[in-house]
Amino acid sequence: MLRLWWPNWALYRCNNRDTGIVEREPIKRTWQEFLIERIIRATGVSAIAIVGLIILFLLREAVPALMQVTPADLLADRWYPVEGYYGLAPLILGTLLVTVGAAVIALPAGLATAIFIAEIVPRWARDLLKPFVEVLAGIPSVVLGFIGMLALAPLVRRFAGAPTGLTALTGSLLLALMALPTIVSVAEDAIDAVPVSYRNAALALGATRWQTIWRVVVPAARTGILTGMMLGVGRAIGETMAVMMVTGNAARIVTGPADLFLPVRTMTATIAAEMGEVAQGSTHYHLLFVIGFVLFLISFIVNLAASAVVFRETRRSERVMS
Amino acid sequence: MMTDPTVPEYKIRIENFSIRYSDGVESLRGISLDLYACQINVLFGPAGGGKSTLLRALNRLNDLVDVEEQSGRVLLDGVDISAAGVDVVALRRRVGMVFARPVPLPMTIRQNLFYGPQLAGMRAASSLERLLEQSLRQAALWDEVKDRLDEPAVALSGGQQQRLCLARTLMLEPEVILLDEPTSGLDPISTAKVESSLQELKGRYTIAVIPHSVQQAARVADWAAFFLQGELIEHGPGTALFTNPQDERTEDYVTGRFG
Amino acid sequence: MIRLSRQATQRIAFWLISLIAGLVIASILLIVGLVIVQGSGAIGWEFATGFPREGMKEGGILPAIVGTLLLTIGTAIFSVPIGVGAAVYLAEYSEDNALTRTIRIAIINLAGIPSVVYGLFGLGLFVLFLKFGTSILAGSLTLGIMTLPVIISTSEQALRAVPHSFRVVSVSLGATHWQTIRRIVLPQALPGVLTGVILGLERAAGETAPILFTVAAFFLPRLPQSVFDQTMALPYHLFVISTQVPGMPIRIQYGTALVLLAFVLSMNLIATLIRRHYRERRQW
Repeated sequence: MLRLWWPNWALYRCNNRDTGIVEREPIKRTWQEFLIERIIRATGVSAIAIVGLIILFLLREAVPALMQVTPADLLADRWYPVEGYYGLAPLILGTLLVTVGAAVIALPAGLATAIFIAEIVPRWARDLLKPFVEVLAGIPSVVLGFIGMLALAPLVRRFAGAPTGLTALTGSLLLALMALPTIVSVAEDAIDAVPVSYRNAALALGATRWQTIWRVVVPAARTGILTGMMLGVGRAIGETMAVMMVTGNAARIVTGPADLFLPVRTMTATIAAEMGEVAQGSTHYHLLFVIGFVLFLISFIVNLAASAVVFRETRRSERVMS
Repeated sequence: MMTDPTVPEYKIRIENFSIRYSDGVESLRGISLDLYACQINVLFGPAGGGKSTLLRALNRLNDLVDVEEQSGRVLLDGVDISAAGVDVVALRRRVGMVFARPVPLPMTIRQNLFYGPQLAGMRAASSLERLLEQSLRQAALWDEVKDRLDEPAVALSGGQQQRLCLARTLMLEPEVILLDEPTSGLDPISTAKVESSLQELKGRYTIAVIPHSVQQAARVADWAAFFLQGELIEHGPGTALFTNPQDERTEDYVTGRFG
Repeated sequence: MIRLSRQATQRIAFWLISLIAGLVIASILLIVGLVIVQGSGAIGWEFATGFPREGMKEGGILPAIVGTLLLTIGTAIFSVPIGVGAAVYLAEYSEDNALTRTIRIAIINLAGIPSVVYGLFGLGLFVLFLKFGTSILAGSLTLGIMTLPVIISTSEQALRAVPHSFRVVSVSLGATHWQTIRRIVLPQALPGVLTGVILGLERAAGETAPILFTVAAFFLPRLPQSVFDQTMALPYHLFVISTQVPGMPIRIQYGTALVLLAFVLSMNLIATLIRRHYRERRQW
């Protein structure tokens, strides 16, 4: 079993014929049942209402900033709100650098670990390793940030010869660790779901085990692997505490990959670090909500894209079936 | 020699009934059929002929699936039960059903049996217990389970489970009992027990059964209806239909030329 | 250019993969091991039951432990009824239509929103607009909303895992739709629902960002008196003592991390045990 806190994609393939009971005609019910069913329906619809409320209240606090700041200000390359510099570019680039760094580490490592668990180790080891990797997902991000500060940062400083260990690279390494359980779990499920007949057919044609894995099994599981990767990276973009604790939080413009060894400041860390100190109602305050809304949009797009992959694949498989 | 038995009183009358599912798996076209009271009415034919669909229309279990189109009428004691606004809960208490695979609910034997009557509002322990013994005896299961009523129902063997399902249906004190291949997964001894239960039950209930073989159809049928690809081909008294079928397709099927 | 034989390629690939997987597994062991080894020295009766003293450099972390417990309970009160209700709706009542698809997209979206954005939302709606102030109430509601998608999707899976035949049989015995859900489906799905609830609460208990602006207090010399009080909480406390207080003894930092980790991982363990226990006893 999975520690799934992302939605179950397989449900898109369900159809009502063999799942929930659909009453064609309303049957005679007591008023209690009528009431209960109304309440249940309301809780179902509440998910939509909550998303609506989130958008509403983010915008409510964000819009005033857009009245006070011009788009040119927002795109400028300096974030120093106390002095009236409101450029978001350093923060966006900081998030980008840390996230890309994390993806470069986590995607291959996640795929390799998923292949290792699904294809290379024996079954009993799989049943042991999978929950173990998923334990990682349960470690609070503040604990990871804490360990990152005390154990990882000194290593990075020594290894990179940088003046400080609190760098974008440290953040990327931690984020990669946090994205891993999602990637491994979803990708491993997908690899495990590839029919044995595929493997047998490839082996019967004289392929080695590795050729079978790399040319047959992994391509067949690509939808699930891709979904896992998108969700894992999506999680990395939104991660706050660990990143804030280890990246040094210097709002500077990122110019290239060499900046991995320098401190950066991400969007999430900016919100978390500055919201406590800012005067309520100030431009700075409203701008933090603008950053929050941008993060909301990014996560919305990433998750919608991940679900679109599943939708498309479902439709195609349905065509094949019918 | 053909001695037509006098046509008995009908319990259920199906008039020009058609149904189609949205996924097009099974459908029925223009079925008109009477099911007679206190008789074993057999619906048989090759798989996919629409027998189960018809059976499920009789207690509105069809409501649970996506029906795209439905027309015609199903009369129970003269009342159209296929219409909107029918109290389907009350209907399902009058028309009980036993399924092909025994499905004991995940509780004890006693709880399984009490489930229906308690939902119907029966609370008095004495009447529940009396009904329980009577139903188990009718299903030929009493002697085997009377000392273990509080064990989980899944602990029973397959044949016992199916008889438990029959007893559970009898607990509703229904007027009609529908059985959809009730013996398909059972050994010959359990099958014989179920069949002999049916012979005893028909004195008091209207029984509609889909048999799992032509042989079983011939053994138990008072009246038989042959279905092929969603159509009713032939309907008549069991003895006549199996010894002297009027339609060539019926003859081919009962003599084993296809199916 | 040397062409490797297929066997050599396989050997290299398997070595490489095993090496990477080994690194991943080792780093998890290292993190958990480090916290346990370094933290166990600080753990003691006074640490668990005492108030912080001397600018938090001495004494215990009782207020943070109590605060996290209260927030977890508050989260559950709000998110369990709504989450399970929504799961019942999706698994048992929803039809395949535009409304259901919109609900699913909303849940996917909720699951992906960064936790700090939930914090902003909680600040905007509960703290400011509804005037709850920074309080246990505002923090629990914020964490509750964040937890909803976890509870909904795990509970829905548990409900759907109950065999369809039980529903058909129940209905054929004269049960209404709701009676079938209450008497058959929900009891059978309960272990799975419980597992999902615990996993959701586990996440809420370990989160820092959503409580930063909605409830968390830097230091409180007493326990909270009402739901409108602020409270300390373990994750925020760890953040504070590891970044905001100079000269903090490392022993206390690791001790706090260990208590938080133990709290969260024991919830994880309980969920696993429940799942295993009921899977063995399941009658289907």
